[in-house]
Amino acid sequence: MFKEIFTFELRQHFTQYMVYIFFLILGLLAFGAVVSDNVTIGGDTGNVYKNAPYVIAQYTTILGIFGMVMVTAFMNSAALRDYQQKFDQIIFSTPVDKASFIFGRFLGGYLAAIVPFLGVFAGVLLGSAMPWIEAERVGPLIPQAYLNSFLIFVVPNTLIIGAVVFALAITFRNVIVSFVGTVLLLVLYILSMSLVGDLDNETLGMLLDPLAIRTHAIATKYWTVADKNTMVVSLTGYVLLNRLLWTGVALVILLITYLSFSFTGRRVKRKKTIDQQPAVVKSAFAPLEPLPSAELQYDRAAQWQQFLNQIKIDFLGTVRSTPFIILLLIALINAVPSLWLVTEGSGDVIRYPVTYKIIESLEGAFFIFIYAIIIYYSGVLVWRERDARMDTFYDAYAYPDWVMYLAKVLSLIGLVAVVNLLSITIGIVVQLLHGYTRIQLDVYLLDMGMQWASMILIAVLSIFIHVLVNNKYLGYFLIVAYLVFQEFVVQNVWDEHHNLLLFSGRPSYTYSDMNGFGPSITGAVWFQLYWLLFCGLLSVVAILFWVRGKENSLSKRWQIVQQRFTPQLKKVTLGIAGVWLAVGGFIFYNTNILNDYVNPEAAKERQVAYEKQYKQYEGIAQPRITSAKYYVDLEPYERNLFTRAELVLKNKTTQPIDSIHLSYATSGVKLTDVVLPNAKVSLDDSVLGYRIYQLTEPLLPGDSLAMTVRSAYESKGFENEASLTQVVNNGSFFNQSLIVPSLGYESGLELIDRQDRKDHDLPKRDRMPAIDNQLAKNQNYISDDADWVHYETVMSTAPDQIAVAPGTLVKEWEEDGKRFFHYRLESQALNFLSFISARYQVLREQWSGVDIEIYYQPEHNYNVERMAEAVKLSLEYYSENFAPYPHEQARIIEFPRYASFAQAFPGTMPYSESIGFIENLEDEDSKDRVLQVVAHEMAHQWWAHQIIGANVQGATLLSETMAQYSALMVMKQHKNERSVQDYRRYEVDRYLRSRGSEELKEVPLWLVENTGYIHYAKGSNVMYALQDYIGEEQVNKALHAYAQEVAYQEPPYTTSRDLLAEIRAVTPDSLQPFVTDLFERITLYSNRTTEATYQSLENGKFQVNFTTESKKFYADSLGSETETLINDWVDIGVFAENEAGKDELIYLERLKITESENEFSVVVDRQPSKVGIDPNALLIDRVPDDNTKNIEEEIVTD
Amino acid sequence: MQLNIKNLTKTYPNGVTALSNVSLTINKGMFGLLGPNGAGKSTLMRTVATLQEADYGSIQLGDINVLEDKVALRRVLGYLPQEFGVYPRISAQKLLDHMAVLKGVVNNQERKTLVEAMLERVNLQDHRKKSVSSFSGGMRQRFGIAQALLGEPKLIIVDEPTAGLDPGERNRFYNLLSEIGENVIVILSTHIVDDVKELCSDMAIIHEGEVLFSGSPQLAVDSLDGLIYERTIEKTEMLAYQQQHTIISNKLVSGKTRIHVYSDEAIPGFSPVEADLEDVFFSKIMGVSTAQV
Repeated sequence: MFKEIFTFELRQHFTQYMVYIFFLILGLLAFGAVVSDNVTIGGDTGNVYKNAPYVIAQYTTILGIFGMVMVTAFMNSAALRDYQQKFDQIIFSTPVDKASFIFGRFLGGYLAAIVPFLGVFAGVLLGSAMPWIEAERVGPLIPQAYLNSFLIFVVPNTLIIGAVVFALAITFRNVIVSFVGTVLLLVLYILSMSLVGDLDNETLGMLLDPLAIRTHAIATKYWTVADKNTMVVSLTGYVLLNRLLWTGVALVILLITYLSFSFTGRRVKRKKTIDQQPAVVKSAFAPLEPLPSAELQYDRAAQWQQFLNQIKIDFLGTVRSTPFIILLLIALINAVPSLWLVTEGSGDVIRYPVTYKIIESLEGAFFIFIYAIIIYYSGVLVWRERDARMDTFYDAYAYPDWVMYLAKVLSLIGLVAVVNLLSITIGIVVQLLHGYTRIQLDVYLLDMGMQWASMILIAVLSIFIHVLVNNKYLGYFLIVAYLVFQEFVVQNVWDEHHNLLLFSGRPSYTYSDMNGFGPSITGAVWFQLYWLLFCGLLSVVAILFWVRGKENSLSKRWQIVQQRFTPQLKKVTLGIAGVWLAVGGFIFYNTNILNDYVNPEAAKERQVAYEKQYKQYEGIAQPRITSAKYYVDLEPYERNLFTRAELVLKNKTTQPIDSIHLSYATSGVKLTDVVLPNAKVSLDDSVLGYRIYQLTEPLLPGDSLAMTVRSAYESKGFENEASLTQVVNNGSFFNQSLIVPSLGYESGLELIDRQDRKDHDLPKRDRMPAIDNQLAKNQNYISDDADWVHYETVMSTAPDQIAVAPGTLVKEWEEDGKRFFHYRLESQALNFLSFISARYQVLREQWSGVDIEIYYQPEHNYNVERMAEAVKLSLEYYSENFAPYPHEQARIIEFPRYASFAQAFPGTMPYSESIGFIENLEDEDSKDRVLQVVAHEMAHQWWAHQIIGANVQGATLLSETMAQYSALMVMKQHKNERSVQDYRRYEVDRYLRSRGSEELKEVPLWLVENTGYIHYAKGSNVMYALQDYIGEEQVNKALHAYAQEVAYQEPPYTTSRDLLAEIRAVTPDSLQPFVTDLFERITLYSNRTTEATYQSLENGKFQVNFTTESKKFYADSLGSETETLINDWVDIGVFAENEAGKDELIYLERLKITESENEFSVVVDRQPSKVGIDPNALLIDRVPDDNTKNIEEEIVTD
Repeated sequence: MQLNIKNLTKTYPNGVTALSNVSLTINKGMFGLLGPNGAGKSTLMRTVATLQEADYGSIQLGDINVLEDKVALRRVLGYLPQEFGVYPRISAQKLLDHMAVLKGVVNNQERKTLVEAMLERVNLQDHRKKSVSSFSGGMRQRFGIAQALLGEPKLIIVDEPTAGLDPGERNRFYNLLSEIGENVIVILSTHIVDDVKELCSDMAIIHEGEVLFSGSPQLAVDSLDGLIYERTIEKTEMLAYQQQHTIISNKLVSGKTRIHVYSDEAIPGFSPVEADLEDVFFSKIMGVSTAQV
């Protein structure tokens, strides 16, 4: 009996196309991801083999999410087969037993649901065998990888989803309810995603994920490139726990389903009809009264009434329907956690829940539900009458076609409006609950309004497709297919980006508290109008093709269309079309004629041509800037910029220079004029931006000449995509590279992406020149145009704004309706200046003759005093330990959130509005990133703006790592230890995580090639360990000496070799190998406490016994490790609980560890709670959490 | 073999009493269950077919206590429900074969022979390879009866089987039924009086969950002997007649209204007519008391 049901069920699945189509879809996706770099599943694979075991597992898990929908379809079909086909009464009256029926249907559906996932494996296998893939990207075939991915993910996940869907479907006999089950699983997955983002909640997140996607990701988060290529995910640790847990849940669900199922189920569908016999019978014999008469009307007013009535029916019918309410509830469940956590930034920072962040979070959480609602309900609304079998009534009534169409479109739009309004309400509630009252309702409404308008476009398109295609499932498929097509094919493969050609396309905009909706909003509104008019045309077509009656054939429908296309309608259509074309023309005029439209792909072509034609001039002798005077004329409210730079160029080489080469910008802020005495233009490529001036008299060594350069930018109309966000109404921020051309060939303009370079036949590009490259040592890594420069700036802006440039404010005046500022920098500095202008409020303080100024927006006044305080603390520490502060001012300036970093220019530190300024530091214990960032940027006033490295490997060790160290020392001095520990913990995690996505090769710290994960994350920990081992004073002594040696040096510039020498000079002999391990190698430790017990002694003290395991590894550039002998100084420590209940160190000793296994015995005064080896995590450990272990009392029996 | 239904009672959760103390004894042969829509016929049929529970009462088929031992009954049951669909894209032969296995015909050879014979019997042999979902209403009913007859059931329940069939199909259907009807219990539930009149040797009238009459059709008709009078009247006169007489039915004949009236004694202007089953049906439904049988 079981066999019969099971085989029958299998047959039903495999004789239908669903299995094969899904197999094909998953297979094609996997195949595409392997053979093309344009298709990525779950992120870029970087350096890892295309068919690496890790990649196979990644594809399997990520595609498992798409697979959820497929499994739902199969399981619904299996569970509801008999009910949907109305065969249930017949089947249930046979002697078939419950077990055979339930498990037969379930297992049949389950096996069918597994098959499509095999498509993923087939896709990878086939893809990696394709001849056009480079051999070095494909690794050996490891069958274990496929088998394990199958057994660990496919088999259990299908079981879990299948059990939930099957159980719900067969119990409630409703497809929607089972769909809800799927969505709940999805929500659990999303929840686990947000949990694992926080190190403290990682394990909970790993267990909560029903599909083990996050579990796998976190279990392998530290895997290096080499690991990913060779290691296969195995059923151990949290992966095993997760699988056991969720498989158990699935089996329990199945068991409950079996036990509670009954063939004599509740008759859900067939309600007993209530009959009212007796009274009716009598009156049926009575003669009938004549019916009352009513007048029938067909004019416009009547039509309008019909329209309103129909909207009411359609809208109320759908807004109260179960699926909508359920979708809304689930969207809410999904939104609330991420909304609540909107206050948490990365690295555990707490922010204020500002409105723009809430809106972003809402959009992210709701957008997929809004799409789902539009797509699903477009079909429901168009098919409503037919599904209810009422169409034969409706179609024969006398109302006009547009009434139906418009009512349905507006109902659909109304549904979206309901969701939007709900999301705004939730956003506001969350803000208020967090105690934040600056609600900014206007921003909510405007932004949601724009979103809503975009959704109107999708709604009209969906209904249009449904009407034309006249087949519900084909309609759904086409809508989704079109959206996918436009996203992937048109944009990524055809590279079409002009918004006039992308349905619902418009320029993106970012809302900034400083600058409002920004320069893009005008264009965005025009494009929105353009597409709305287009949808008007689509509406006309939809009304013409509206299905009324039973005609299905295209020719018959065309006849009906022609009947309906009255002259009056033709006029209306022409009218709409005319306006649409006019708007389109106006837009085109703005985007392509007033402005230059450059397709991003074409822009890349230009970069390629630039490199191919002019790289030949790389490294030729050019003069360097020694002084500069900048005249910057900014008109912020018109978004115009006119600049003039008077430069003095000096020949610092030993040979005469006979030509000056310039690389200049051909779009955005354009070069308008160059005044160069005694020179003739011998080459001017105005397309690629390269110009060569021949000097009539060569410039002799040591001589200088003057060059004046003018640039201009005049904003006209609007663009396809706003390009220059540095010049805006409030918060203009740019540096000198925007307004002055580069001297000579500029390698920074080359294509960087490896794949792009390969596609365009360009050779491989080194990230940075080798450390001993003599040519490269002649320039610093900031600029090759200048060494140390004297400069001043005269900047003009609108009368209500303040303009800031580096240097002391010499004079301020008003002229011609503009406000002028003259700044002069007393000391020499790197040719790296910022020009900023906005309406600011300024906080002014003083420290030892230095003016501290914080320029901020009035609403963002939360942390300005802290910033000033942080500046003071930094000035204090750095001028005492490194060198005197060279400037008369230290400024922090807020700029709009088009970028979210902070940067250091001489005496000036622009700081994005979206970080520090909105950080919530009300709680004393909260992580204080403001102090860390300010101290870091202040530190750059020494490490970069006084001491600058050559443009070779290791350069950023001298700037970024030193800044990290400096900031850490300030934090150590003024914050509690826990703060510093926490910060370091996140940095180590960041370092270890990033190793696996290294694009080229990992290098030791002293050779760092400007990669953040090494110079920030690894660097801060290395320096912290160094100062702990040799002493903070010693390190500072070395840095002080180094600063004395190389500050303001002329080329050849210093390198990390010199810094290391100074460090070694203060390091005792016993620790010299340690310095080598820290800086010159990629060293990893594995320290573990394996056993820990303590005994109470008679004298009231405690004896602590513990064993540890210590290993040491050196890694190569791809991350494969070799173990080496351990011969290092490592701390051991004992903790006890303090009054606050937290663990604190009561014993610490540094010992030489030479064996892998060690036993220790220590006597302490207080009752111990925890012991460990390297308890402060000074040494970078593969698994940081097992250094310490909670301790238990060992009872000693006599 | 006898089917004994005793005091069967069921009330739906929405408060409607579907069956109220229904007791029937049904022997071999065609038994007609007659009642208007909503009388409780389908509820009774489903309960006997083990697809629904009762609140109170018992059903006994020979040794089988139907309410307790559902599986035992299903082994000897053939059920054709009032409404049913079919799986898409499967042929009549394959689906019937599947049903045969579920009924218990596990032996391949036996089953093959049985299925062929059954399709032949219901005249679907020529269409056996076609998809059942493409069948017309009549053909679908024939398929339904084919699966009900599989495995020589001892109790066959057909619920409103001729709704939607044209007269030709209806006749064919009843011929089929009456062939088997001689040796097994067949319960035919319907609201069409003529069906019962033509086919059934025993019947019951059920209305609002209660059995109003049980016995042979002849007995039913005899009970109204000499009590039915007929007259043709104008539509406008209806109200007047209603107030004076017990009208049990009215029909339109060639545009005029013809009424049947129940009366103990002759009525001037009315002609006496022989009672037929329809008169019994309507009089029972309307609660007109007749001689106790």
